[in-house]
Amino acid sequence: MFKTLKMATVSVVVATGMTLGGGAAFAADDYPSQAIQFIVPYSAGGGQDRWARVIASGGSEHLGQSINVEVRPGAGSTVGWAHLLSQPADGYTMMIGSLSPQLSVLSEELPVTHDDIAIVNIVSDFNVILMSLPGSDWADWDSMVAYAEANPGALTIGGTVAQALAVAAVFDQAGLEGNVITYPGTAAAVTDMLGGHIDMAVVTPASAIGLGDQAVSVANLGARPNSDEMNAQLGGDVPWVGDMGYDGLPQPRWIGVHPDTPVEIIDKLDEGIRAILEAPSTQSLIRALGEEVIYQDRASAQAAYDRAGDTIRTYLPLLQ
Amino acid sequence: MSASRKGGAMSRRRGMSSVWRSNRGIAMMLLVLVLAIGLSIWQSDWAHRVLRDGFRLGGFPMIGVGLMVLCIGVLMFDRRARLIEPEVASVTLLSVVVVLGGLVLLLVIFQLYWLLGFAPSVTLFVAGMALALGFRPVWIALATGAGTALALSLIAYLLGVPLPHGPLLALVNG
Amino acid sequence: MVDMAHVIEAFHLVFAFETMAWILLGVVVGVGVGAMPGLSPAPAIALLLPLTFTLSLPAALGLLIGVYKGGVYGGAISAISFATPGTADAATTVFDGHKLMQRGQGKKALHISLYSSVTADVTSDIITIILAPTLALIALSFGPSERLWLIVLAVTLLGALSGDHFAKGMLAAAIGLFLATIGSDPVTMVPRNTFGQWWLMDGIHLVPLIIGLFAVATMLEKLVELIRDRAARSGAPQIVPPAFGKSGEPLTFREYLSCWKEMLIGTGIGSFVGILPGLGATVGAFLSYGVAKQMSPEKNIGSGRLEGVAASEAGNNATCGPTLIPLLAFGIPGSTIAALLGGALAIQGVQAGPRMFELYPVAIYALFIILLVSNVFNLFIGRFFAGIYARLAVVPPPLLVPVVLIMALFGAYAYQNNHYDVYLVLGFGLLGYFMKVFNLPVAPLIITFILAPLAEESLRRALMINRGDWMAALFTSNLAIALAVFCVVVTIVLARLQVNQRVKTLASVRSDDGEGGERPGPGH
Repeated sequence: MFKTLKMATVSVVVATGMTLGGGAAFAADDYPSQAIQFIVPYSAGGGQDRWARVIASGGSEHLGQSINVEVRPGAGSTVGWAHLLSQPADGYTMMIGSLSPQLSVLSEELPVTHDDIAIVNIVSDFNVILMSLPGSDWADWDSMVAYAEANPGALTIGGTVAQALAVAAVFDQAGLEGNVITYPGTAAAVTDMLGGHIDMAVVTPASAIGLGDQAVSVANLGARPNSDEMNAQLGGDVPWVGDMGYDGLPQPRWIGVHPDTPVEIIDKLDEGIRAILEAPSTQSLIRALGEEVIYQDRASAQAAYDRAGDTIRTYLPLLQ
Repeated sequence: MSASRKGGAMSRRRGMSSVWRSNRGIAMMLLVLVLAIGLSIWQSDWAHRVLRDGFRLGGFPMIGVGLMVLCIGVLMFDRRARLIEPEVASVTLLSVVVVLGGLVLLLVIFQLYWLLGFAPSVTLFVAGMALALGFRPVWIALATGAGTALALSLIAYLLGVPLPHGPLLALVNG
Repeated sequence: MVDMAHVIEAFHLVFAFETMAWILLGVVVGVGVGAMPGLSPAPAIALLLPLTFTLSLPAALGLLIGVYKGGVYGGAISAISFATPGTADAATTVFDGHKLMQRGQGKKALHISLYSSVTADVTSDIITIILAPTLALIALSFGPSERLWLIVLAVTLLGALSGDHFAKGMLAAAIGLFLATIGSDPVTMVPRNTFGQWWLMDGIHLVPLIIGLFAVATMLEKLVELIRDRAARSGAPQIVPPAFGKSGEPLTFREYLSCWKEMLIGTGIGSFVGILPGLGATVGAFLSYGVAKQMSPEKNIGSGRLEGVAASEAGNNATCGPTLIPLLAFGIPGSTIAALLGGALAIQGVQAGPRMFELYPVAIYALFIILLVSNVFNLFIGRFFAGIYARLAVVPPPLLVPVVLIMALFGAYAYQNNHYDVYLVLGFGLLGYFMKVFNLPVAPLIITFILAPLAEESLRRALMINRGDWMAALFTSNLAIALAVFCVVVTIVLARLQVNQRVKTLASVRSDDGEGGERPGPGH
């Protein structure tokens, strides 16, 4: 409250649809003039949390303001999202997200809808990797297709909902029938695959690299080919479904702000985060975590977000 | 709790409203509550939605309701159905008021965080309740309140828990 | 096989001043965080993770492992001191620990909790170091079907916690099962049973449940007592005399040794539970406590016995080392903590996994040494904290009640920075108070609350894998069949024991006095 009163004296950009009374106005010129709250709508310690903390660590140096990470998990990450919407649309509260919050808001009637966010940018977009035990009858793409065609529905594939969605999407396009089993976390799915209880697992690149030669990468179900560096770490060229004519599912890590935030402020924020991402120290930290920076600016990020939403609407019913 | 006190509490209360204080009486009240929950689940649309593995969305919640009903049924007719637990026998209007009042008070204090700020609300609550419960001297109560508030604020700060500072701190900061 | 040069280098790295200082800091933070209801080691580690970006590898590991071990122990301190488990895994420590405290034996209880924690932790760490690859392979053979039977077995073994009135124990268990179905369907993640409240979509978490059922309910009970006493004394203000002048006698070595059986049970069960992904310290503590109670009915665990505290605390701390096994053997973290440590290793350029022994031998030996050394720190710092907390018994109740209540409120909010958790805690406080009054045991509720969703998930996943074939799903492997048979055997043996026990107590009570065994109902 106090914060907004102080701001109101400065500038002219009027945010509409504000929860606070009166025509509070926010300055784009001197943005950012105070610390930025960075909401992580997941439990502390997860992938998004680590990304948020890495980005936050570069705040003072590259954005000119410190970034404070605020962990607000709950209700399929919509508690954090609802909190974002309850804050003023001044660009001083942002949130990191992925497919999971999109899945939540698209699968249930909630106080938050899919459009209640303005995407600032995408900081990464990982490709999910379909893996199997080495030496199995489905250890490469062609033999897997042959096996799945000969035994429709016999192939059991495990992964989290967001990752299983990629399997559902690609298999649907390829006319294959698989038995997709959802897990609460990648680790549980991988353990079941290593133990031979399920046939395949769909995992993040970091998990795939961690598995080493205990498992083989069958296909990249993401929206773009793997980088050479990633393929090298995975032990060879992993075939990309895009090359076979199918649409892979992107897994963007996006940063969003209140939908009523002025575009000038979003652009400044985008620029600042980009500077953080381009810093060598950030790059090396991210690489150490087994991930890579794949940046998309505001316009293309918003489009990618909307596309991901459409894909979810199409394929989620297959998993319910 | 000693056996003699148990017996005493029981005999003292034996006359009044004993039916509702017996295991059976309480089980009956629970039954009404659980059946109401079960009915509301049964009548909702989501409960009958069939999932892709063939289970109904309401299946496992209804198993829970079913088991509760079963246990309540046993409770109403087993050997101890007519027994009055000594703790139940000793429940008075005062204790109900104290429990509900205590919970409401906590809720109010939690809302006060956003009005007065975290530290003042905590100090107020701790010192106020200690004094109301008859703790003396006053200064120790106040110091404990302030100390608790300070310690919790420090932990919150270190752990990145966003707590409202309230108007007092804002005034100090200008 | 083991290159001594690497081991010696690791020793040098760990026994450097810097590393020692960070372990010390870690354990202090961990015990402090663990003792606060609502705060647990995992978020604290997540928070400290960025700090390790700039530390050396042994220092980073020392800090994080120190927080972890301290945190798992720290929960016991507040469980014993004011019946408020600081972490969920200390819930079973309340049952005996707080009774000891009320009897003026708080110091003994705090000491046995510390010593059994450290004993079990050291033993399970050694098991981890020696047997990691073998144990990991065993863990892999547990798929959905095997896990289902394992959970059934756990529930069978935990029947002892249902209290003396069987129907009430079962009712509590049924309530736990129902509460656990609130949230989302475990297979399709479609929200269910949320009473139209969107914020219940993730379900109810263990932390608000425990804070409500233990901390808030206990304090409400004390509040009622205090006000009733005051009303009886017509409200003249008075200084409540301290319950006992001293913090009590310390634990003797003989008493420590007398708990060997419980510590052994705790270490065994905790280590096994720790390896399996998804179970964790709380299940370890409950199982260990339940089994210890079953194994020695004559000790009457639950009535305030050192053995009960030892079983519970050995059971939770024994999961600490083994929880890292899947991470070290396959590169898959089996728990949040393991994932966080894996992240810390990754930032230091060490990829956790089977090739760690070849590629980063010094790092892995350093990790092992730190696992062991941090126990020593835990011992000394734990003793220091225990000394302070043991004196809390002399804090007059009118001062203690508001402080613990506000701590519970704070912990509920700090857990996820979420208002709704606070409302849940207050609701569960009411439920907990009702359960106390109506004599419903809390343990069965918590057990089914944890285990029922795991059972449902395992069953339905097994069915999906086997395309709806129940026989195939339930008896998919020899291990599953063996576990099923074992469940049946255990049930029969326990039922017989139970019947014998009941006959014995009934007989003794009857000869004692006519009223106790089968009390007549109120006169009608």
